[in-house]
Amino acid sequence: MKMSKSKTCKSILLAAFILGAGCKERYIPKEIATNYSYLVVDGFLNAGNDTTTITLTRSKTLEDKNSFYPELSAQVRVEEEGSGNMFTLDEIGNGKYQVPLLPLNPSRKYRLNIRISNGGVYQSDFVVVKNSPPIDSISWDQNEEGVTIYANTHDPQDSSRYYRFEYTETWEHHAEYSALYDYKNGAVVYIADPDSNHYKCWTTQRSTDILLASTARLDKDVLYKFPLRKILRNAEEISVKYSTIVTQYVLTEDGYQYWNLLKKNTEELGSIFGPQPSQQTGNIHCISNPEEPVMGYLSATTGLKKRIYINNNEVLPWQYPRNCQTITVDAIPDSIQWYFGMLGYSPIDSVTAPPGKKYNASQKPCVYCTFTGGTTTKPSFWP
Amino acid sequence: MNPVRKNILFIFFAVLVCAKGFSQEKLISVSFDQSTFEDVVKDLESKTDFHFYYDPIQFDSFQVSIHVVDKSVPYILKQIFQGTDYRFSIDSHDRIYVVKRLEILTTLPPGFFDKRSRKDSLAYANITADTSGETDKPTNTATSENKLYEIGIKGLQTKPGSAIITGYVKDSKNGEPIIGAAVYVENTKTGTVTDQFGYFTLTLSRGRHQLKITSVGMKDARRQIMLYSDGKLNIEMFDFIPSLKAIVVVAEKASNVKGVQMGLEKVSIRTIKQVPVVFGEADVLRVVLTLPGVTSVGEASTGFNVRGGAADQNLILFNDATVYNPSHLFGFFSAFNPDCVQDIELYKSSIPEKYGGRLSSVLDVTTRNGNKKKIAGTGGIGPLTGRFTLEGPIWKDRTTFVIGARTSYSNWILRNLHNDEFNKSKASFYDANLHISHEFNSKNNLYITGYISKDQFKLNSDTTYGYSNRNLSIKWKHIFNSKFYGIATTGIDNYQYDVSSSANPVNAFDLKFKISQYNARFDFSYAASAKHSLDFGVTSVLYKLDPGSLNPVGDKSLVTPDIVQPEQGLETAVYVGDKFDISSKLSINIGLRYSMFNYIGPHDVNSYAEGLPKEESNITDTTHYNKGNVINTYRGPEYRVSARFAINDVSSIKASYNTTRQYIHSISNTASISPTDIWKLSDPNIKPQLGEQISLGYYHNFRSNTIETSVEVYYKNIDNYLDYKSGATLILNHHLETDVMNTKGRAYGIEFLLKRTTGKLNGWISYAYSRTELKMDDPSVGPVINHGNYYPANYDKPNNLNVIANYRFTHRFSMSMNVVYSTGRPITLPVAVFDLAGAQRLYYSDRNAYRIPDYFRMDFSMTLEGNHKVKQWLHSSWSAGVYNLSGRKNPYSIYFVQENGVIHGYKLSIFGTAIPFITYNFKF
Repeated sequence: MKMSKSKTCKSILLAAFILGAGCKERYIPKEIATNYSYLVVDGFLNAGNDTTTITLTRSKTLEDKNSFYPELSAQVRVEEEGSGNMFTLDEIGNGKYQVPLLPLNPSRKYRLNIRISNGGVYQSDFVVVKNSPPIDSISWDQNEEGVTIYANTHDPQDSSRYYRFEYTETWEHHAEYSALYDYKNGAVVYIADPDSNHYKCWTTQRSTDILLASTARLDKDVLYKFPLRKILRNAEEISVKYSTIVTQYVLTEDGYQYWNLLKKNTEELGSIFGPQPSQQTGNIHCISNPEEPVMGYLSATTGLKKRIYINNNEVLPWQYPRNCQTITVDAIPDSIQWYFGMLGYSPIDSVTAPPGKKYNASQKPCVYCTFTGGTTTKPSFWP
Repeated sequence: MNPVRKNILFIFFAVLVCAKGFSQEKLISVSFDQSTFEDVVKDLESKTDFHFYYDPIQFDSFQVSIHVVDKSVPYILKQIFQGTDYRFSIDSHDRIYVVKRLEILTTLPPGFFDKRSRKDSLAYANITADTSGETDKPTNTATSENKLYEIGIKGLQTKPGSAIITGYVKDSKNGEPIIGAAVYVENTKTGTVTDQFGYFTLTLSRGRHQLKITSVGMKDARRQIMLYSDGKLNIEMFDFIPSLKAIVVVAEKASNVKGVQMGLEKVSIRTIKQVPVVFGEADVLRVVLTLPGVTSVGEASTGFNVRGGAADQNLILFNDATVYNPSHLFGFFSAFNPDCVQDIELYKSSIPEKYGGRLSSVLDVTTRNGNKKKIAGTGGIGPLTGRFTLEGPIWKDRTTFVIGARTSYSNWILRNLHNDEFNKSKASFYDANLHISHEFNSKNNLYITGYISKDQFKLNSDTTYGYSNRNLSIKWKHIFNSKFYGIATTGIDNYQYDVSSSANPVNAFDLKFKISQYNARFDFSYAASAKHSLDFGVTSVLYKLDPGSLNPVGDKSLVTPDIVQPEQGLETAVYVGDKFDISSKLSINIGLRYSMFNYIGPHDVNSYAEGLPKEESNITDTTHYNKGNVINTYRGPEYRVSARFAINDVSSIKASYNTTRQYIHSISNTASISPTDIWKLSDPNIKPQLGEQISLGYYHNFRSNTIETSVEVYYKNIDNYLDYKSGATLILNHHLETDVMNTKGRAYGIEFLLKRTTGKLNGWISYAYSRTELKMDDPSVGPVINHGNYYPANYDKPNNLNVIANYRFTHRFSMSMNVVYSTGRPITLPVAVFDLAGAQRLYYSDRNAYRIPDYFRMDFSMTLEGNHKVKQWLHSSWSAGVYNLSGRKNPYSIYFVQENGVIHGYKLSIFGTAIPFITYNFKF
């Protein structure tokens, strides 16, 4: 049931007292325009056999739409406690600093040292290395509302306890019509390679919510059916084939608290009984100016991964709704110019019937799968 | 008899009313020969204080010859009139009436005017028996204004000195006591206020006085009394019912100027019912919020803040039972059924010494005693709730009851809303009250109050929340003698909540919290003399807390049972207070309360390394204490001093100094009071909160006391105020001291009040400027907040304006209007956005560095009552109105969430539009 905003307010009125939903409106206070530009440290020390990537960026104001301010030309090094061993991360551009393999010793502690181009010095606390148990399974089930994907894991040593998950999901989706023609540079052209006709697309996106789980209150370190993602019924994601790769990080209790507070501060606010936002500090500090806050929290863990696939035929009935209709366009320059150039239709195929050649055509979103996102390049792992 | 004629007769006879006692002391000598009676009168009046009343025509031919030495006037008169037709009488005011043939009775025969009063008032006639003054004496029930009531044992003459008059002030209609009625003698400024039972004790000089009795909503009463010695006078007051024909009623309400108490706000249920509220049901706490110095964090909360105090610093008493959660349905309704409430009193600056245990204020909600004369009922049907109250005598004139119940039908509404989100939600509540009062005899009364409430809700999720209050109090009042009475009270108060979910069988849980307190107290009141009246007593509260238990539900649940250790503590206090009238202008109240808190085992207590923040990593030792062991003790005095200086009849200055201590704290990291807030006792790691307040006020009444004005200023210090650390976990925390910190608080402000109590247009305007700030600058406690500077508390709202106006067009139709304005409350805003773990995140400003937009609301309601025939079985009324007339979307909160990786700011308004309502009320 869809409602306009004002209607929402009114119907909520009837039950406002009960749901506490009241009336909700977009709002940005004017007062918060100052640009503080704090250093942001994103990433973790990979204790597994994989690359460690640390991304350095700058914070921005709330209204700033320019999404990215990388911190360039910084020196980033990982220091081992006791030995003083240093591992340098190389800048690969865009604020990213990488080292292919960090030989982390699980019995040692490590910290991050950063010197940025303006001379500012930053340092994290020493962190312990937390090895992650493998993910038991990524499961899913389906009900009227849609599909829910879960993580299941356990640690026989009962020592992991605090988990954070990320996932990167990819799905294949198709346009309504597979086109033989394309409209390019004012002319209709035949598509020689049927694989390049914008019919099949793959969209990839990363999880945005902070997915935290704790088994600290359970007898055993067993995480059962921890919900990672809900896909609404008939959504594009499983209209053809869907896949997700889940990364599991194990956190220290302190790290869990940091992510939990970050989650509270950004995701759980706003309900009537919700907690108040609060200032938070991670385990990274500015040495050159102790007053300056630093965003981010450094952990050292193995990021173990697991991938699953869900096919459309496993979730039927699943009707990805599209309102696509075809029209016919006379193959004469004026019509082509008008429909394909001005109105945004796209040709599909052609029919030759008196008095001449015609194109079947439809609205662009029905022909170009890229219109709802994604690329036409098939990912390397895709079966 | 026609009442008007009766009154005329009354006045006529009142002139004649007199007593038999007269002054015989003065002995005089006279010598007359063939003198006229007029000459004799002149001579006697010049030599004595007597005044003669006679008809000179009757004496035109009367001649007097008498010679006496050192005789009394009565003796002389007897000599003069011996053997004549003339008769004389002398009343207590040394007036001598002389008539021919008739003798004037200076007293009226019992029941002269009212047959009904005959059996219970032996009153006005000669009272000769019983000189001890301690056994049951006949008590006057004074209902007429011009009659002279004799009190005490009439000696042959009025002795000098003072005597004590005691009694009850009751409602003539149903015999219920009237609480807080002012009983005073106008000229001398001596007066008192009736207590919760309608009882008063007043010390006056012996002799004749005019007593004045005033109470909100009642017609002012006046009683002529002749005070011989200690005695009783019960006074019945009449409802103020405007008659169909216009009568100008000049009421004189002066208790705000004359009382010593400052910062006391008293509102009767009558006034409460006139204030328009959302959903149309009279709401005690909503009205409290319109009083100067009272604010709240937002609309959906009945937690309120008094003069910069936190919501847990208010002692909310319901007939002496402590109510921990005074709200229903997230605060849209208050826990008190308006039909059972008599009135409320809010003490915000000088808290009487008999109350303690909370820092900021005492809200005393008093229930009505039942109708003593007949069974009566009241009720109402509103858009969400229905309520019904029944009251009446069980044993006529001895035992009465009031039983009230209220329930919501919101679940039914939710089910009928065609919206999945609503259908999955549940919200309901009920409450029930029972109050029984029993009079054993004129010296012993018993009062029993029971209260139960329950709320249950589920907000479009699998988690069910429920909470309930349960209270029982038993009170016995004993009057030792006319100067001394005592009240013994005992009771149990219980508050609990529980949160449960069984959607995921592995995580199915049930979380419970419970707090119980067992109270016992003895309060005594002693009228030592005309200048001193003493209050003293002892009170004790045993707290038992189950601060949280988590249990699995079902076989599949893997939830580990987790029980936070129960804790208990004993709070004991003794107090004594003296109201001392130094002169007619200056009165002071000196109170001292000494309170002691014992934290009692069994309990494990952590010790932390000195000088380091209380964090888990700094625990040095854990000590186990056995059951009954006193783990630690906090104790200290609390001073309650106030003084009033009367500049003149209509203005006064008052000052007060108060200190308070609080041993039980509610800890919350939500802005409003929420049902899942944790309560925690002081322990070795959490110190008691200490409060100190100084205030000064000026009071002035205009237009025969119908307009009251006041200005009060205050400054307050709070020590050890508990605030949460950033990111605190409060639920199921086994070492709460690691997540909270002691802060210092300060609050100051100025409050203005303009109030008109009577007339067609009545109501009040209040304005307050107030600030509340906290400070946490001790790095050894944890990260300092806002660099150790003062930061505004969540409920710091500097400007507050409230206008409550009620206009009565006719006796059946009235309209009310509220206007509320306040500065927006402080919030913490995000000052920077950053990318982390694939999405935008927020970095927040200093705590409470910004404010939400100002709050403004206007409500309107009108009440149409049915016809006012007294004799009909059902009286009904309709009230209808609009809440938030201007439809302003007052922000309750502003918050920011990350949605699909982008930060969005939202403004949440609870009542984002005008809300009409209609309610039907009835009574029989």
